[in-house]
Amino acid sequence: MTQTEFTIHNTENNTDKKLIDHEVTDEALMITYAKGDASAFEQLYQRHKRVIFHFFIKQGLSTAIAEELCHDTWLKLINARETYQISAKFRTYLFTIARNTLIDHKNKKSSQKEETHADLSETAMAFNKTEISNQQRQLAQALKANIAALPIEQREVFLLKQEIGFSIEQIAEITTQHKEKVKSSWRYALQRLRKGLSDYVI
Amino acid sequence: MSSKPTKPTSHDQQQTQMQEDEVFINALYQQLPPDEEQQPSEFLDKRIIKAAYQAVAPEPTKIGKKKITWFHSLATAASLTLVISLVVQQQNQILPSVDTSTNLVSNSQKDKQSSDDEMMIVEAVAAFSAAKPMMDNEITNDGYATTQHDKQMTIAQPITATKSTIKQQRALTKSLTPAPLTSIIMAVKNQSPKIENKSYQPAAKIQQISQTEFAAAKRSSPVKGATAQRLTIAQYQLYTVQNTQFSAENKLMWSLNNEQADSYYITIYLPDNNTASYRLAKTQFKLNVLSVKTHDRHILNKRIFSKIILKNDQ
Repeated sequence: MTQTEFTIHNTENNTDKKLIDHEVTDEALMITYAKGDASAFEQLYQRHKRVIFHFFIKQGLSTAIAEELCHDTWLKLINARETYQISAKFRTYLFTIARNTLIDHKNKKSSQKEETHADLSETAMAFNKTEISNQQRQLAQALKANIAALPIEQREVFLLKQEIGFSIEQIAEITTQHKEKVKSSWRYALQRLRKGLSDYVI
Repeated sequence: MSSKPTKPTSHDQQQTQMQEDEVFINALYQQLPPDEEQQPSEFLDKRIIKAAYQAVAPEPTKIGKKKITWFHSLATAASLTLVISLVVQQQNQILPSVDTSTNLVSNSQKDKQSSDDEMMIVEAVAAFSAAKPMMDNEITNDGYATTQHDKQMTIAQPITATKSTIKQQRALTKSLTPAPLTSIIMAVKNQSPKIENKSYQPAAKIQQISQTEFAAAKRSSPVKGATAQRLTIAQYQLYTVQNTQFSAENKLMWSLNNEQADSYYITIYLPDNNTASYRLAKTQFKLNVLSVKTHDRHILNKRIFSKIILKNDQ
């Protein structure tokens, strides 16, 4: 086998492996982990760690608290591995745990406004590090402030749909609310944000 | 035919408004800078992955714990067995000094005492069988006589002891005068406080003196037959000094043979398996007397020597 042939063959194998990894669904990985294969959990974590972290960050929480809630969420998933049923979609299941963790945190903490202000300053510092336009920086800060100002029900529906990409039906399942109520929360959240951000349309 | 345009309902207006809002928000999101730099720290990643591996890891320590538990159980059982056996052995060697005649003793304690009595009987039989014959006959108050020449001391034969014989014995006892044993007491006191188990020379000396005195009295007495000699104060003091120097295993013991209106008749068990019978005047001595059981007249309950109390501390 020549060097070129070996390289081609190796590349094909890597492509197949990536394809196989991608084909394995989240639900199958979760079942595999429940049977004792911890590497399956690693794949699940790599797939969803960022979106879970952003879900907490977008709630107006500081990075430290968001990481702590991430840790709690994944630990709850680990402890509930044996009760997981494949009939439930993994992504919906994971965000249900994340939402419950967030609600528990909100119930414990009463200083929500202080956290929000701290987080806004952190966001400003983060944007200062990157080379972006001044207009983009102002827009990002304004959007975050307006999202944080939404009522809790509207905020979580907006984030789950706009940021994470869930449908109205999936959000109704996660929040255990009626579909029409979720739809109403979505509509009111859009109206508020549009009113608050109308000056930022380019 | 031309179709008339329908009037939009409030629901349709809401739908239209919502679609416009969605388009507006999506446009804003497209203008936002990418925020890829915001992701959980590596430390958090390691914590979560480590917890995931630990959750499904097998528990190899269970076998080790079982072994440790088994080892501790065995060690505890062995220790308990050793302690119990030592306690039982110690109880067999040291006789109890508790007066069993008190009414406050519970039933369980009485059962235990009865078993102890049986053990004492066995020991006393051994002591009697090994002892040298000191006296020919020992007349008891209820008309039973024990002959120490007999090998089997448990057999008692009733004799017809006349009143005159008893009187003669009392006269003989009264004729015995206490020997001057002060020098012997001083000699014992000057001895080393540690006396080896097999060295009972002082006790043998006392016994020898007693036997000598008794033989002399016997020769001088017209009465035939043996009786218990009177325990003098000097002998008592000598025994007391000796008893303090003996080890716990070899402490002097005594048992009550008979009790009369004016005196006690006791047997003192010497450490070298010898015995000596004495009569104690009630005017001089006071005893914490055990109850005499009918079935073991000849071998009575042993008591420690310190239970013999000298009245007026003469």
